[in-house]
Parts: sequence; structure tokens; C-alpha cells
Amino acid sequence: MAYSEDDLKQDLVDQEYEFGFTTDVDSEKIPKGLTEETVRIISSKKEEPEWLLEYRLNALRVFQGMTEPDWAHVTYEKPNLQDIVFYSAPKPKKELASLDEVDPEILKTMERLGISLEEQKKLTGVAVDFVMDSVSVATSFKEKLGELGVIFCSFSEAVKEHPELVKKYLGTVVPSTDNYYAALNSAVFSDGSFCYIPKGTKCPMELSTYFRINESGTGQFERTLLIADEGSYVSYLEGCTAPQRDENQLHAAVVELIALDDAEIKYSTVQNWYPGDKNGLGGVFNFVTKRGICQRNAKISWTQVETGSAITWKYPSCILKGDNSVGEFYSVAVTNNHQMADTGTKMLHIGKNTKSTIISKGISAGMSHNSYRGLVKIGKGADNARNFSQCDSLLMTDTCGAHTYPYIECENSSAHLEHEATTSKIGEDQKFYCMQRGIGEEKAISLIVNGYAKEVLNKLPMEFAVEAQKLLEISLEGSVG
Amino acid sequence: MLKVKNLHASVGDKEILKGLNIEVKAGEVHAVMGPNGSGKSTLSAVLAGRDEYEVTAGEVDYLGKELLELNPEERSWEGVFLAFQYPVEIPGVSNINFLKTAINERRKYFEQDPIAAKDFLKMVKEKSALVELSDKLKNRSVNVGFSGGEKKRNEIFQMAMLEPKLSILDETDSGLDIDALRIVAHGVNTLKSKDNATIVITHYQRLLDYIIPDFVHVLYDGRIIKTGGKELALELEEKGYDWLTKEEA
Amino acid sequence: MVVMKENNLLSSLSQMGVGLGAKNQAFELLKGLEFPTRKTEDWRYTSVKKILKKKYVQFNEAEKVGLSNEIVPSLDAYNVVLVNGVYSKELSDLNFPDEIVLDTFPKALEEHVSLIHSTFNGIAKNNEEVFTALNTSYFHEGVFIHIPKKVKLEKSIHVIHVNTKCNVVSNVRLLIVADEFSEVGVVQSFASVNAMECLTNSVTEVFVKENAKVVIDKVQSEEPKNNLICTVQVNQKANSTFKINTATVSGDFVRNGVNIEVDGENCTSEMNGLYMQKGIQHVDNHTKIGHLKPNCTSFELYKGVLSDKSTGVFNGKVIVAVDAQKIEAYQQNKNILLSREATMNAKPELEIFADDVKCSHGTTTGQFDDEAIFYLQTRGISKESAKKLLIEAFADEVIDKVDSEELRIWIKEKLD
Ligand SMILES: Nc1ncnc2c1ncn2[C@@H]1O[C@H](COP(=O)(O)OP(=O)(O)OP(=O)(O)O)[C@@H](O)[C@H]1O
Ligand SMILES: [Mg+2]
Repeated sequence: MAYSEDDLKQDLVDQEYEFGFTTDVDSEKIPKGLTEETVRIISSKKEEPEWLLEYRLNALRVFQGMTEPDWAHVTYEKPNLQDIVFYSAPKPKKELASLDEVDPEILKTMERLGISLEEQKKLTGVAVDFVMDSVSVATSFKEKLGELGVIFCSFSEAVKEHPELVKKYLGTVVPSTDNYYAALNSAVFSDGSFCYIPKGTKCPMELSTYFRINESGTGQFERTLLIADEGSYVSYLEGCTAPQRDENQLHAAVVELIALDDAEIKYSTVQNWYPGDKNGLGGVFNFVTKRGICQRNAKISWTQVETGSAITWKYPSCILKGDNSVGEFYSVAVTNNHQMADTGTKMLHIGKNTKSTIISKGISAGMSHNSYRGLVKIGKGADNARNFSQCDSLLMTDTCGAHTYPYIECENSSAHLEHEATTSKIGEDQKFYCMQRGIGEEKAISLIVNGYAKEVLNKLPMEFAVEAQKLLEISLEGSVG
Repeated sequence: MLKVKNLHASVGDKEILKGLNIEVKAGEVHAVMGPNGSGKSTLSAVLAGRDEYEVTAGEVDYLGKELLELNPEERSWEGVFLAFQYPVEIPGVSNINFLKTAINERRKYFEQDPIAAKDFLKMVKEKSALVELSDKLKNRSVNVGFSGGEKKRNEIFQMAMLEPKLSILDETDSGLDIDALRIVAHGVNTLKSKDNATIVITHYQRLLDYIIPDFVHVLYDGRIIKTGGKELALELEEKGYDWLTKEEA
Repeated sequence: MVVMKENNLLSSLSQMGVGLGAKNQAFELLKGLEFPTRKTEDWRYTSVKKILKKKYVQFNEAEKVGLSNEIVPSLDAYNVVLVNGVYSKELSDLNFPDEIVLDTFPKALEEHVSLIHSTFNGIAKNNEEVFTALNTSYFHEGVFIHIPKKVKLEKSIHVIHVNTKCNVVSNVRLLIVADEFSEVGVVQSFASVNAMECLTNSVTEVFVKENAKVVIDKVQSEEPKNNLICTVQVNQKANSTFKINTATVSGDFVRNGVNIEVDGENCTSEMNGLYMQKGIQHVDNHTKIGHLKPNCTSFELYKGVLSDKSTGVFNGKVIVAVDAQKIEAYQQNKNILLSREATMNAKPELEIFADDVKCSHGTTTGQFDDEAIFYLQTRGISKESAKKLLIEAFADEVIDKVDSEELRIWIKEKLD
């Protein structure tokens, strides 16, 4: 008998979170809640210098004067900050010289995620900075990178080893006054990644970080700072998965990219935090501020595949300050069940001859809501600026929603801006054509959706593209309405 | 191979097929002709299992199975192939990936292992040569940006790859220049054997010069109103449909 | 009310004329509403500060004026004229067919109480739009048009608003009720003669019943230094057609709101707009179409040419409600900036809650294609003429949406 829509719906409902498991590692936590004391504890535990403590405390003061924002089409119960543990580091926390020293439980976790360090090392030559509940556990390929002068380490390590760089650039792209969650992050960030590519260096391998939220009730506040010095190039991968949890977990990261003259940064994300169950229970709140600044002739390219989180609020942005700089944003966002995603980008054209491209593909299924929200601003001095935006939405069920809110502001007559958006149902003709050729409905949908997202998936580095494709398939299995 | 008895089908409230009968045996070529809107594409869509068309009466026996009970992909696995009058574009999905998926899904149905990459590539090379489809087109997204003629050739290429038992070609000749017509016809003729059958839907006698039918049927207002040999096509070319439809009225 | 220090607008107004419960209700509502600031999402690109700061005068008697420029030559229409917001009997046509009702508000209220009570203020968004609430509270003149069942009015109705004095404030109201199977075309024009610093706040409610057709052509050619706020609220029932074309030729501050609720199946809705601002003029077009029922189509095309230091705003929202399947909604916004100092802000939005839909929007902002200009130059056309030609061609796409040729010619003349 034919695979009916009801079967498909049932499949969807039954589909469990593939990576939903918890690693059994002792964690060292500090008491719940957010006060000046919390901030001081975090800072002292990490043995931070005075200036950084000051930075955190300033941010805390800013934060305390702010109110949590409300957004259209994203409704949720606001996380109670007093109920969150702001710091949790896996124990034992000691310097690790090689992977062998990593807790076998953690290695097992990684294996189940299909990202075992060994495998990755062997097969792809990727250097991985693995972050488990905010503290960097193992960093590989460090020496090899060291020879080139590339610094790739945990944020706390950078504070100790390269304070001058951290001090110079921290908060220059995302000031702690930027928004509610950026202020929060600036006050309590636990750890993250730091990366510096020296002048004229082309980083020979993809740098990669895997984030995972492990400890129940832990807020995760990573901080990433990436500096590409003049004429350098780096491709950075960031992947996230979180184990299944019944209570909502807050994730408020800040990522700052600095591309100096003639530098190029390619930043790719595959985000698969736990989305909550079919009833909308649990799941990660993903409130992230990502922004990069481009100096002369520099280029920043954001690519993201977002399939996870109960709520995603994320606008990787580019400040195109230098003349001839280029910003790109390629995004695929899939929402299913009760997920809500509000994502997009901001392209701020300041320099002359700046160019930006935005390709956004939203796919909504179940009862989810998927919104694109973006800003393209052409400043007065941005002569000959160019922007092209294409925002498409694909609807899988009659219970989901897809929304598009682009803001286009142009203050310079020599600019050229083009924005296009479409919303439509998955094509019946296409489905039937596939089926006539013997491709079943499920497979047909996955084929069509992957084709639809191709433009973006193509921008991902090879190793990621396969995983992303798999994630799309998993998130949409049986999502026919 | 195919026995269609008293087939009635409608879209919404509109009845399009009104008691259609046709029988096709292995090794035969049948041509179906008829004025625009008479129901030719509807017939092919119903045979392929498009669910917009509701079958209200009649039965279809295909190799001893109730064809109407099967869903579209099962029909495909069982050897029914439809060359679409308007082939569908699928952005981002390459022709090659599309065909490989199709072939492997069928192999799965027959509990065979997926086709080896080497064999698949060999097959692609061989079959695309048959319809002179360029390499560029094979790697492009399914039908996206193909010219009308290229789309039709791609349909025959797919047909060659899937090796069907019953092929229904819905106006595969329209939009083809004379060379392309010859290429397509050559492809169809090469694939012909005593075990498979072809239904050719067309408006023009010229295709039938290349693909020689054993029977010609005239479809009018949802019914076959006349059946004859290949000379019927010539007669239609000359006289049009009026003399037949008047008779009918 | 949140009393703004600089809100002279409110103190310039006094309630008079029409006695309607709705007015008092709106007045109460107004007390709780705030005037928009840049933080109000719907007004983020348009500041009303200047308008609120000014002192105005409210008129209650019509001026006697000549109207040669404000009447569309050879347009077959019944003219209804309001001077400084007050109905002018002398300037208006009085002999229209018996079957239609074309009346000014105070009078209509006496003669058609029940009809007005069942429609008037029924769809105006007093609680969301402060300028609508303001209009409902303070309007004292306006026009009521009722086209009964099956009546197809051959001639257009041309409602002419003209200001002839400085600092005039007027809250004018239009109510159009098109009954089942009826058809009507309404032209609404706004102009001023030797007047400056005026504010016209116009609210129009349109009821398009089953199978009816209503077309509105708005022509806005206020002299510079005048301010205009125009809100059109539409309700469409099944199988109906509604079309509105808005041409903004001038005016220092123009804000147009068009809000259509499509509350029936098989409807067609169309919104077109052209704005060609110069100097420091500011034009803001806000449109919203809510598809509440399935099987409808809507089209939208707004185009702008901005010179000097002018600014343009386009905010178009398309909403497809849950279960409103088989909707096709298309929206386009195209802008040309002719000067370095001109600014354009565009915000096209789609909110889709049904799955079987085809919706798209597109917006472009840029300048002329140099290739095209060069091409024309090689054919012996000077650069200046080439630009002019291209602007005309650009504008024509919208002007061609106006059905009446006389009106098209009139608009083109005004644009020159
Ligand atoms: N999905 C549909 N919805 C409504 N009417 C349809 C649909 N499909 C077919 N029809 C109508 O049914 C009739 C038969 O259509 P069909 O496409 O089968 O004709 P045809 O014989 O293939 O014509 P042609 O020679 O032009 O290809 C036509 O009147 C057509 O308009
Ligand atoms: Mg046909």
C-alpha cells in the first residue's frame, strides 16, 4: 500500500533527536544566578587579568540597565537568568598534551556525533578546538599551525598568552552595549575560540570548533574572536549539537571577526542544537550575535545551515568599512515541529565599491515559524555599492509560517540594490515527476529540498556539506503536510 | 501487456475520459492521435498515477496487476515510463544524481544492491550517446534552462536509462527540429524489442514515418472513436478530424 | 493623551458638525493613543514631529475659487469639490442619477442613517492609527457614495480637495459602499492653490460587496510645503475586484496608507503607485493586504523616482492567513535615485501562514542603466533627453494602470 500522508506525519512525530544523549562527566559548576559576585567568580576561576574583569563588570552594568527585547513571530517564555548556572567546566581541568588524555566519555560523545577527532585528523586534516560546556578540552594541530604563526586556541588561553591581541580587538565589532544578549555574554562569557592569522598567511587547513551544551540548566556563553591580519586567509567551521533536555537552555554567543586589509574570512556554521520535542517541550534558545568588520579589499563570507534550536535568533552581519570590501551571507534554515527561527543578516555598506550578496533559503514544516529579517544599508559615502538579495521560503505544511522582513535603506544614488523573495509550496509537479521515475515521495522531497538549498550548501567546505545534507534530510523526514 | 477497460476519469467536476478502451500487447507500437483537449495527456497522466485525476470507473490491467492500485513510483518500478509533454524543472538536482537515485530506488524494490558507480557511468555514456545528449546537459539541474528540444531528448535519455516495459511518449515530437526528431525516433526504435511496448501520443504524421505504429487510435472527447493501421494516420493528416467527429455526432 | 510639548496640531482642532457616536468613541480612544516616533515600527522612516509642531486653522465655510487646474479636462465625471476641507455646493455637480447616493456627510447622515450606521467607521483602524482616530474625532466634512446593487456607474466620481489658504487643517472623510454586482470609479485628487503649511488628513473607507468592482485613482499634487496623510481602508467580499492607483506628484510630506482586507474567495486586488519627489520632499507609501480567504490574487507595483534631497519610503506587507490556500500575491517596488542626496528606504514584507501559495516580492534601488543611455545617445538623442525618455518609460508602467486615458494625460502633464 502507498505510504500515506498520515504515515509520514507519524514518522515525523516519532522522529527522535538523533544526537540526544548525555555525556557522563563530572562537572564543576558555580551556584546559579547572575550578580556581580558571579562575574567576579568566573573571572577569578579563569585567573583573568584586571582589565578583563573590568570589561566584564562594565558589561554587567550595561546589561542590568537593559530590558529583554520582544520580537514578532518569536514567542517563548523568557529564560530566568537567576536560574542559570553561568559557569560549568568539565573536571578534571588540566592541560592536555594529546588526545589520549581526553576523558574517554568525551571521546565517545564525539564519536557518536560522527566527529571523532582521530577520524577527522586522519581523514580531513581538520584542526578541532572542541568545546564542551564552554571550556576548551582539546586542541589539535596546534604545533603545525604554530609554525606558520597561526594562533588557534581557547579564548582563556589567548587571554593568558596573547593579552595584547585580545585587549586590542575584544568588543571592537560587537560592543557590550550592542544588545541584551551581547551585553550578557560580555559579562559572563566562559570560554570560546581565539584565532589569529598573521600577515600574508593562508591558513592551510580548515579550523574547526564543535560546540556542545552538555550540562543540564547551563547557559552557554562562548566568545569567539577571529583576526585575519593583512592579506591572510582562513576558513573556519563551527558545528553545534546539544543533547536532549527537557528544560530550555540558553545559548548566547558572541562572534567577532576582523578582516584587515586584503584579508578573507570564510565562516561556516552547522547548527543542530536540540530543537525540543514534537510538543515544543525543551530545546535550546539560541540568541547569538555574530558580526565581522572588513577593512580595505577584505572579504567576509558567512555560511550557515540552521536545523536545530527551539528558538534561533541570529543575524551574522558584515560591516563593510573598507573600500572594495565584500560581504556574503548564505543561509539555509529548517524549522519543524514547534521551532521558531528568526534569522538573517545585516550588510552595512560604508566604504566605496563595496559589494554584498545575500542568499537565504527557509524551509518550514510542522507548526514552526521561519522568518528572514535582514538589513541592507548603503551609507552616504558608499559610492557604487552593490547588493543582491534572494530570500526564498518553502512551505511543507499548512500549519507552519514563513515570513520575510527585509529592510533596505539607501542613501547613495550610485548604489544598485536588488532584492527578491518568493514563498511557495513544495512543487507537486516536481514530486510527481520524481515519483514517475521511481523515486518515492520521502526521497523525492529530500532530493527537491536539497536541490533548493544547493546554492548555499555548495558554499560549505566539503566535510561539512555532507553532514549538512544529512541534517537537512533528518530534520525533514516525513515532514509532508 | 496493458488492457484498459471502460476508463472514466475526471478532474474536479469535469469528466475528461468517458469510457476509454485500449489494449496493447508486448512488442507493439500504438499511436494515439486526437484534437487538442481530447484527453490524450489525461490518459497518460492516469496511467502514470497522477492523483489530481480521479478515476471514477473502469479498470486497467498491466501485466496481470491492477495498475490503478499502485502508486506512481511502484508503477515506475514495474516498468511504466511516461515521457512528459511538459518535462518538469527541478533546480539544484543534477540530472545524474536524479537518475542514480531513480535507478537505485528501483533496485532496492527488487532487492538488488545499488548500482556500482562504474557501471552507472558506463550506462550513462552509452545511453546519452543514443540521443546525442551533451555532457554539459547531463550534469546540469534536471531540465533547468534546457531548450524545448533538449528537454524532450532528456526524456528519451531517461527512458533509455530506466529500461521500461511500457513507454508512453506524450507529444515527444512537438518542438523538435527535423534532426532532433530523427535522433529521438532512432532512440525509441533502438530501445524497441519484442518484450516492450510503446504508446506514442502525437499530432503529426511525420513522427510516425520514423516510429512505425502497428495501430493508430483516434481519441475524441474522452473516447477512442476509431482504430486503424498506420494508413489511418495518413488519412487524418489529409482530412483532419472533422469527418470522424461528424460521424460521431 | 500623552501631551506632547510641541503638539500644536491638537490644539488647533475643534470638534464640530456631524454628530455621531463614533466620533465620541474615537475621541476617547485618541486620549489613550500616542503619536508615532521613529521608534514606532510603522513610522521608522517618517517623522511627524514637524507636522505636530505647526499651528493650523480649521475652516467651516467654503471659499469661492476658480478651479481650472483641478478639473480633469474632458473626463466624464461628477465633480464633488471640497475647499479647505469644506464642501462647496457651487463648485460641485448636483445632478447625478437618482439611483446612486452622492452626498456630503452632514446631509447624508440625516437621509441615510441606517446605511451609514451599518458601515461608517466599521473598518477604520482607530485603535491602531492615531491619524485615523484623529480624523474620526474631528472630521466635519466628507463625501458618502453609495452604489446600489447591479448599478454600473459609467461616469467617474471625482472628489477634489483643494486648499486655498495657508495653515489650513482639514480632516476629510470618504465612505464608499458598492453593493453586490455594482461598479464605480472614484478619482480623488489633492491640490493647493497659493497655500502653504497645510495639513490634510484624509480617511477613506471602502466596502466592496460580493461581485462588485471599485477603482480608485488618487492624484496628489499639493504644492510644496504642504502635508498630506491619506489612509484608505478597504473590505472586499467574495468575487469582488478592487484597484487603487496612487500618483504622488509633489507635496513636502505625503504619507499614504492602503490597507485591504480580502474577506471573500475569488477576489482580485491591485495596488499601484508612482512617486516622483524633488527638493526636500518626503513620500511614504505603506500598503498592507490581508488575504483571509482562499483563491485570491493580488498584484502590487510601486515605482519611484527621487531627485535632489528627497526621500522615499515603501513598506508593503502581504499577509496570508491560516487556511487561505491558493493565494497568489505579487509585489514589486522599483526605485531610481537621481541625486546623490536622495534616500530610499524599502521594506517589503511577507507573512505567510498557509502552504499552498505563490507569493513573491522584489525591490530594486539604483540608477539608470548607462548602457541604455549610451544606446540612445548613439541614435542621436542627447543625454538629457535620453534620461527624460527613460524616466517617462519607467513611470509609464504605473501610469498605464490607470484605465481612463483622460486621467493618464492629466497625470502626465502634472508630472512634467
Ligand atoms: N488539471 C486540470 N484541471 C482542469 N482541467 C483539466 C486539467 N487537466 C486537463 N484538463 C482539461 O481536460 C481536457 C483534456 O486535456 P488533455 O491535456 O488531456 O488534452 P490533450 O488531448 O492532451 O490536448 P493537447 O493536444 O493540447 O495536448 C482539456 O479540456 C483540459 O483543459
Ligand atoms: Mg496533451
